[in-house]
Amino acid sequence: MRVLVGTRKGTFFVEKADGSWRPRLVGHAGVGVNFVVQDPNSGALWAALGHGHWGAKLSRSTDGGATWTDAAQIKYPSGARYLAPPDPDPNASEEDMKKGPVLRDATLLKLWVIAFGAPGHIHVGTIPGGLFSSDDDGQSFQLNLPLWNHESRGGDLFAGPGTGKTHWFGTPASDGEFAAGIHSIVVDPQRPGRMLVAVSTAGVLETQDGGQTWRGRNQGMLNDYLPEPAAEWGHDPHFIAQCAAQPEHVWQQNHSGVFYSADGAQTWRKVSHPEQGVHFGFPVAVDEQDGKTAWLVPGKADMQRMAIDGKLFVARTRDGGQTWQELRRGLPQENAYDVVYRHALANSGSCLAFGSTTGNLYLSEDDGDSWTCVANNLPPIYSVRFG
Amino acid sequence: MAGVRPRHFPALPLARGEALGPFDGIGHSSVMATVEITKHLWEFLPTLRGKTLTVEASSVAEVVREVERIAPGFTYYICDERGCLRTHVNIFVGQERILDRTRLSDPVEPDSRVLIMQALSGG
Repeated sequence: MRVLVGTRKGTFFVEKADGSWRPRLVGHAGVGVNFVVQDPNSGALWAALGHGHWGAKLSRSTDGGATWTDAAQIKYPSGARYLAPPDPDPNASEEDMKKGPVLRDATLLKLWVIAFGAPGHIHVGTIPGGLFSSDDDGQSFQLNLPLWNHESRGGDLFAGPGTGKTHWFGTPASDGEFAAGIHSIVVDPQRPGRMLVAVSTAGVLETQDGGQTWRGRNQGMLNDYLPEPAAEWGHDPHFIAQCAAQPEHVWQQNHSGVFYSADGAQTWRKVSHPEQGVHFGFPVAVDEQDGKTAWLVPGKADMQRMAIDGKLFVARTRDGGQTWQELRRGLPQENAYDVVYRHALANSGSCLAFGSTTGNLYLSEDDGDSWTCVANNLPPIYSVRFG
Repeated sequence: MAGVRPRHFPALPLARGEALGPFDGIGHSSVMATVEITKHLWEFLPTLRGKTLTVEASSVAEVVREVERIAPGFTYYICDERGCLRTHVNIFVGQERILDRTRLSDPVEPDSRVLIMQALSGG
């Protein structure tokens, strides 16, 4: 087993040899790697790159990471538009200022997450909010139009101005543009036509028919910074994850707390325990067999976004969020300012790994009971996956 | 700053070396242009490594089209889906930075030297 690590400056593997885990650079030196993951069906490795100058590119390796080549590229089709706030304009007339959102051409700003369904089916979440899917093993990708044209986004903007109103807002991860992003894609392993996506900032949406129709799945969500906390839209999921063996168990680390669903995201229940620091954070991982067992790496909400009091810990529940254990053995308990991004915590069997923006990679081989720092000086870590 | 054409820019490392081209069957009214592409792109488009290209083209858009034939995928490195030049990419024709970043319609004169590089955006 190895750990695939996407960083601000390349792709790394962390592998165990002679009893210890060691990192090595395997590709994309100097290039931002937002996500790197292995296709469980084909074995190919996929990386979502963000070149500083040259745009977002999909990269693939079919030889275990020895060589990487550009894959089929994701492009927004001509005519794809989205609603966004107008740029501030001190010279705008009073009438112009009251017009509300404006239409912007969609161009690919970021490849954020990659997920796999049935063999040959690959899904990519992007900013500005498009879900792209391939049914030919990544030889070509198409924008999912029913989601792109969803009523919550203002309707079919290919055809015209739509409703003029969008419930999808922006994410700072878009590097300057005010655009929404899909960072979580969960495919039900038992019913591949059922899929959840999470959008920053809008909420969670579900399809049960392979992406032909979508509906919001935000019942029970509470967003404590909205005028109406139980609003249908406007939620800020940071990441969602599903239990492979019990897909009705879905977890959500949200800006406004930790949420758990035992009915496939039809209803959510807040399971934060702020007195233990279990509330704010980015990633969440779910046990592959037991849907009530999950791990988080909490941070201090939300103006700081740092390890709480300089002490890094992982929180684990085994009872669906009723109680949480603080796992600190082997993790720094003073002067630690690690922040763990949404894709930078992963689990496989009893192994867990997470990486931080300070370039530290921590690994546990006992369900999180104890941890070892296996790399200290990596670039800022964006993603951690086993593969 | 539309209309301002800065004349002096620091040199960036550019691809110089083996000449490649010209290519047959390009537009009759075209002229020959020499294309130098930043070394940064050699890593991702190995076909370009070490080469100075000579192409027939009468506009920057045609230059890009010809380079795409030599190095498939090149265009999406320097332009977005709409064909607009990416924010942090610059093209010079001779000493002049191109003005039309949307359609790349700037003309290419006989024996022009076209430079394609990452913008000096800092950071």
